[in-house]
Amino acid sequence: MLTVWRKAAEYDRSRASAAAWIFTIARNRRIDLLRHERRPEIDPNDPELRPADPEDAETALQRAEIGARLRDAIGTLPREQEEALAATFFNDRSYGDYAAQSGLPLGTVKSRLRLAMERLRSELKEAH
Amino acid sequence: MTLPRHHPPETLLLEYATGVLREAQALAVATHLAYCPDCRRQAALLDELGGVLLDTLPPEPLAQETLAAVVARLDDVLAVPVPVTRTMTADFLGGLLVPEPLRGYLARLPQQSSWTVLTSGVEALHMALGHAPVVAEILKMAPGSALPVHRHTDQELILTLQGAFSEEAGPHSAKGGCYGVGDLGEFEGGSTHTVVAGKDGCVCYRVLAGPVERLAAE
Repeated sequence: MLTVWRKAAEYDRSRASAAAWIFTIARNRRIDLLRHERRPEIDPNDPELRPADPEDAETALQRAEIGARLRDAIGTLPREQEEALAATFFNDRSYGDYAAQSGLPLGTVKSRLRLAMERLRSELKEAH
Repeated sequence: MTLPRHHPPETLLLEYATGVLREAQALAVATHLAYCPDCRRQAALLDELGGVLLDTLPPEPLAQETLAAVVARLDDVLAVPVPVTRTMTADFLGGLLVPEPLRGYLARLPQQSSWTVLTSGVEALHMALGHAPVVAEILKMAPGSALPVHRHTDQELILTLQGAFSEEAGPHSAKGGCYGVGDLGEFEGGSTHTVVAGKDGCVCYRVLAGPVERLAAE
């Protein structure tokens, strides 16, 4: 929470929504605390960064809508897919560990995650 | 400038987004993102997804004193990180421009780091990232040189930084499996293959999650 406060000046709403930004801070803090590792990240101002097609650039407004649209899209996921996603995001375990712990075959977990992401992406496209 | 054609599989991007990927593997994914606007967009979407999921988590009850304690710490003086000034970093890659975050990792390599010969025409520069059995290294392969046929006990990631290599005698070789600049190859444990440098040779960042077994004499 303090980290969020201290880094607030670095927040750039053209890059991410506030919720996503807070998620990334919490995630990086967890990596730091649990594993004493850094999370390698791109430098958005790196001249070596291969630029995106300007036509694809999302506006800050579109970004702001993504959260709401994702929320709706998550609501359409079958329960087991949503569960696999949430477990992957917050238990600091690989999906392999989640598979072992829930007694599901690894392939099943992988395909649930893939299906969930496909579904989310297609829901986002339709909502455009 | 051509865009990469080989991308990290969805589950690897997901592990990068959720933060469970170890540093050596995350470095390969993050540096691929620098080369690949498409995957950058995917990664940004996964961060947004993390934000939404975080938002829907049930709130954790906090002790009453927590807010006061946090507010009291707001004025703590933060240790200001000392900017790292580097007068001269060894140029291990002969002037090759590599994007961040890999560039920074290379710049922090000890000056005395040196190349070891793996096999004829192939040299490796070891990067101390992760713990054994994980091996993270820069591979420099002369034109047409090849690694001996080998079997992976665990996952291998290879990111091409210069030139190209092709994968042969492996599960992907039927598709041509040519990996140019910015391409990330993920080869799962149990796969058997060899890597052959293109006509201009290649420079790659490679992470082995587990030991490699050589199958045939050269």
